[in-house]
Amino acid sequence: MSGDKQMKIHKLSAAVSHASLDKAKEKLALLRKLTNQGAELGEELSQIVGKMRQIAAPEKQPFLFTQRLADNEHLLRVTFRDCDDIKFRKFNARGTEALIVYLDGMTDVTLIEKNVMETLMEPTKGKREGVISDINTLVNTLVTSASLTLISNAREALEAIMVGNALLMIDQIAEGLTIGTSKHVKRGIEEAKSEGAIRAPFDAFNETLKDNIVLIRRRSRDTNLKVKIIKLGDRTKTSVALVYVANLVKPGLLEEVERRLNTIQTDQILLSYTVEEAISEHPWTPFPQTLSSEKPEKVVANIYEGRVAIIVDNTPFALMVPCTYSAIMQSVDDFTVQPVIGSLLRITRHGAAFIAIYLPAIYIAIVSYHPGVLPTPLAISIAELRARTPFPSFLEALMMEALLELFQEAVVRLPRKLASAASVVGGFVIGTTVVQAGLVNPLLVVITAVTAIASFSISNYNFSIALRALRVPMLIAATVLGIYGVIITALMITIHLCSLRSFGESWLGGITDLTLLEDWKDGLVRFPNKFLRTRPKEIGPQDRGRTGDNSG
Amino acid sequence: MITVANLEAKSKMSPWQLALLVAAIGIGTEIIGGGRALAQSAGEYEWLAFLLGAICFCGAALMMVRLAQVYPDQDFVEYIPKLWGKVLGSLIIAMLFFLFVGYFTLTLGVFSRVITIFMFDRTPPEIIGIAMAIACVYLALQDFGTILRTIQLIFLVTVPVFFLIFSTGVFSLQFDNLQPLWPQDIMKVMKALPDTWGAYAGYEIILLLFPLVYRCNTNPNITIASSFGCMGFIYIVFGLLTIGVLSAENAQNLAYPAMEVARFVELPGTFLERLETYVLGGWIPNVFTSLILYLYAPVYMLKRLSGHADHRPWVLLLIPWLVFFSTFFTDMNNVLQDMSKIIKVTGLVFSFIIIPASLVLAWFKKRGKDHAAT
Repeated sequence: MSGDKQMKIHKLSAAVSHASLDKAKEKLALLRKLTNQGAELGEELSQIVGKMRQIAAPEKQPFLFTQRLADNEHLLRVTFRDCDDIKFRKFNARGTEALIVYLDGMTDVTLIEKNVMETLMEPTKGKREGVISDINTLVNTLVTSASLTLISNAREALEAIMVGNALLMIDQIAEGLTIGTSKHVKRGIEEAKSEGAIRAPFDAFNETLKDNIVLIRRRSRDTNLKVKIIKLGDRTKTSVALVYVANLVKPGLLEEVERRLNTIQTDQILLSYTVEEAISEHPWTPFPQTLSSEKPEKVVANIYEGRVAIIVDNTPFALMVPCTYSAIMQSVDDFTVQPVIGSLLRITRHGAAFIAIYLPAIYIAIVSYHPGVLPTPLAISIAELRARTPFPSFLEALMMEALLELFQEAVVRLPRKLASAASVVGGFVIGTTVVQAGLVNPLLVVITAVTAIASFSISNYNFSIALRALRVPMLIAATVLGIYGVIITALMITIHLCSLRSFGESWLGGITDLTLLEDWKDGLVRFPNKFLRTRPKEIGPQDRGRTGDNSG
Repeated sequence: MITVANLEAKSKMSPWQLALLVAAIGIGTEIIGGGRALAQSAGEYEWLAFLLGAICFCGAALMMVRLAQVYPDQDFVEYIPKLWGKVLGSLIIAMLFFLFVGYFTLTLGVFSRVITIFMFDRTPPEIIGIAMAIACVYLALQDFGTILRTIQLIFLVTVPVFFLIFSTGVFSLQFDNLQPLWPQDIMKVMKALPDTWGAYAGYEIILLLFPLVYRCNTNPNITIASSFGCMGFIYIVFGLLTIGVLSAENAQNLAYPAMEVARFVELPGTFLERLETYVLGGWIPNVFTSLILYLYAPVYMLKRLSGHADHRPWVLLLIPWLVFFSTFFTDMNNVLQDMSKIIKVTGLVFSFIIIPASLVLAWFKKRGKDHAAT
């Protein structure tokens, strides 16, 4: 112990001069630098190898498949480096080396096992091994899957793997087989989240393109109903389906839709709105330029009027073009009630659209400039109410608008359970307290509430928010020039609406166009079905008759 | 802007749409601003003057249709120099140009004053005029299809509303004021006929827009006659109500008799009072449809004369002058009255001398060509 006491601890650097901390740091930095350089070198080498391989490959192809499976595997592994969810499974297929490549989590492994591996790995009784010498044998006799695609193109092979299909490659064959094994987690068919209906079918689109197409196909056995799938987005390669009825769609419309879709230059398509914005003619207008719906029956009804539907994978909304005002204001429920009631519902919606834009502005104009148009007792009572608040009516209205917008945003963004609480807070607490605090007069609260309810009753959400966006300019116009300002601004909105086109067709459609008067029977109002024997003229369908198929 | 290969021709219109444009251009300022002069000249037979005026000016419009049908693929600016020679042709074109420019200036001037008096007594009429001019420019800068669609929408929505509101004057109607219903001195009514010209003016636009009418089974003569029938009906009701409510003597002494009719209306037990603001609310869009066509016509002529494909630069070039002349004179009321007289004479000369003469000349030329061909 005494010896221990006398023992003195020295620094390592004191004993070994080159082990000082500074030197260790230097060495560590050097090591890091070398590691980074090594990684960079490795990356560059991979790129050089990739480029060298591309030299032999056709344009836009990452590489060419060779007859040597080992080479193909190496090429695929280089392409999928750092993709740990890509699985490579090598096995012996009747004496020949085979490789299956698939994306884990998006592929049904049971299907691969049953339809490919079991049959290929089955021992050959009394037959010579190595019988898989050509791809046709493989397709015709060995692989039992119904969905098979022969692929010699590396880009297509990579895309197939990325959507969940399995790629099967056999040694000595420079082609591959993609097997339809895609299976992934998805939302089931549920009720529509953004479109309410009472007696209409409840199933709505989900985020899976195939399911959405099935929902449409289930509603029509028409062989003229075509589905054309194209890929958009340089990186995401999102599937976009064009659905139309070949013998109804207006000549040139489909080609125009395709042309506009093909002009989309972006690396990613995640939302259908990206497509909507790219194909719209007027990017600055607040009004929607495509019809959107998550209800399959609405889509089918529209494509049978001559429209083209665009369904983007991973989005539960179908877009339909051309878009017209009368189509926006229609609801499936218009056709599930008596025509008279359906017509009344439509007229109510048109009235609601008017109220949603103009009511606060008319209020401001009347109380600020033209109180004389009101009956005297009412004018006096409004004046009394206004005398209790310190702000001019414009500021009061602006405050209420701001509050309303805040509530609407809060209700949309909050979880459902909290949204109802927010509605209560907004509707009862603040609605009452702003009046009690003397900030806003009660009549304006009524006006704002009616306006909000009117904008909620519009069946198309995008149109409803467009109306909301126009309220503040209208308020300003009413404040500056009273009723005259409101009328002039209304004229300008009318001009803007009349100038809008959706795929060449007027956005306002047949409304008040003398040449399209016959479209009124299913436009502003809804006539009984026996009068609706022709399709609307405004879309320009090839066959206007709704009875029979005149395509021969 | 993306163009669509399969677009239908949007710059064409049907004969009924042309008729609607003629009605839209006619029903405008005069319904409010022009009652006094007619009450002075026709007295209690204002309605009859409107009826005869409709027949008379419909005749002039039909002559224009016939003239346009002689040259179905050309507009007035193209064929009139061929008919009259370069110098006379240019003078006639200048006359038509002046007419439309005059209509616009006069209409905007009267309109801004009426609005100032009845809506904003402390706002200068210039502000009212400029606000309306901005709306007109916005529409005039669009293509013809948009202009046509906008006018149809506004006309079909606002004219019935305006007519309905004005018709409430029937509750204050006193039939004694209309007695005797049939005139003993028909010459008095005939003399008042030119004063109804302002109510129907603007039909000269047929000469410019007729080539845009597509040929179909509908006879444009019928549609134009229907248009005058519609205008005539509205003006007759207007005349009957003005005189029936106010009496001819009172109407002569009021600046804007139609507004007084609206003021007189009392709807017992209803929410509505002081209908003149509602009447003005229905009238403003109707003036707008007249103004936009008055503006589009000279712009169209300038476009054709200059050989430009685009009419928009001419809108921007013309509008500051038109607004200036319609609002910025110090003694504007007198200027407007003088201008009104000059335009009326020019319009009548154009409709009843130049157009018939041109029609006869066109027929002679056509007959000569047919003879030469045979």
